[in-house]
Amino acid sequence: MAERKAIPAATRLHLFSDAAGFCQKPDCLEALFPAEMGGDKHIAEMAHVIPHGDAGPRHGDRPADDFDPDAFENLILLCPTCHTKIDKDPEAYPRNVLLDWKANHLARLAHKQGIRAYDDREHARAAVAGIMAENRAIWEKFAPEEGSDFEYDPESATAPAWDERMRSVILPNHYRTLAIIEANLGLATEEERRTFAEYQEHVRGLSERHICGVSGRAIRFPASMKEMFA
Amino acid sequence: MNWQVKYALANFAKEGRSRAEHLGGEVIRIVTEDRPDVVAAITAAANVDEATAVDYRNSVEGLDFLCGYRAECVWEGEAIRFLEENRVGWGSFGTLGSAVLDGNANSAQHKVYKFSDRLLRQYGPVVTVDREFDRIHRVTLRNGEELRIGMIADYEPTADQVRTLWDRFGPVDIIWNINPNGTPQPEANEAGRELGCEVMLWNELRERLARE
Ligand SMILES: [Zn+2]
Ligand SMILES: [Zn+2]
Repeated sequence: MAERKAIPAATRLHLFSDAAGFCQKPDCLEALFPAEMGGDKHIAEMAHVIPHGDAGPRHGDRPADDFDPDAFENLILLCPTCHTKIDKDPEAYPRNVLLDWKANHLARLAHKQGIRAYDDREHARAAVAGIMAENRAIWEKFAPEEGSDFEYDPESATAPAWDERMRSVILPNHYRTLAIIEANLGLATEEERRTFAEYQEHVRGLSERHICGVSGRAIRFPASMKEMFA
Repeated sequence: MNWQVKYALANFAKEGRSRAEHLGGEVIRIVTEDRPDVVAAITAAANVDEATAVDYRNSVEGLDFLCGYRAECVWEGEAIRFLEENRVGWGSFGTLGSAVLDGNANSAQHKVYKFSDRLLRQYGPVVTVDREFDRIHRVTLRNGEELRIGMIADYEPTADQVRTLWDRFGPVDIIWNINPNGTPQPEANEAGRELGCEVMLWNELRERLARE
């Protein structure tokens, strides 16, 4: 078997933010960090579209030119069930099908979550506000340094709890909010577009930290998000 | 009235469970149902040394708590010892807020450093602890080794915070990131190495202290 390097953090991050926390198989779209699993467990699996070896699923679909199986373009994020399915029955799931799942994932996810473009700012605001309120409530209770339940206790149990909530609730909420704003960017002012860009960076930093374990790049939640579509 | 006192009064007014009144100068009284009244001095000092602490204690009748309102406020070890021996609580405004509700303003210690101070004192391999500042402890280990440990409470300590601690408080052997959610930035670890100290979380520190 060929020597395998670990998938680089940047690729994993790209993959995760592209999947927005949900299995990329269109009829599944399962949450990859289920709230009920608690702790630091997740069920996300990086699946190769084209395998490393000459015997793996879909090896016949390998492009002729030099090709990196570990590149972002060749990976798809799935739940374990879907990963098993596509590897057990490669005929049913050829390369072009998997690449289509990936390319249209966010649109399908948005459809499932009822995300759409609204005619007026008021509706867009309502769609964003509810989700952000849930995040704020969790933040106010558990957030590092600011949360009411936060204590500078190096042995505290709230730290892992925070990490878990971040991945199972806060981040998926953020991805959903990003999708709603994106779908309604036509209603946004110049100022709000700038806020949106900042907000994207904030979410990216959170994902880096809580999904890939890369610290030190998080930028703060932009205060102006409170005024989004207001 | 300086802004610190004004802010303290305003903050109690909006919290709900307690009322605060101005007794003059930097002194307020906080009244909470089913809890003892608390007389607190709100100091604007950026550095509380022993003389400052003695001064507040002698000039404020019935002082229960000395509150360093500025975020950057630093408490010196002698001041801490004096206040604790004289049953005066000490710490940030957040510390005062919880102490009032817990009913323990006289014995409350700075919220940010309380747990780590206790962890060090209770940890087996640590024989003596000399608290030089709220965030600087000199410990002697069972094996005779002496270590100067500085604490950083931030979520993601930066290289700049590591250097600032070093500049302000002098050389330390270890910088302990005491925020349970925290992890130092890689640049902070690098800055520590350049200065000659290690930056670590509790898991690493406890092993380091237990080393024979
Ligand atoms: Zn696979
Ligand atoms: Zn799935």
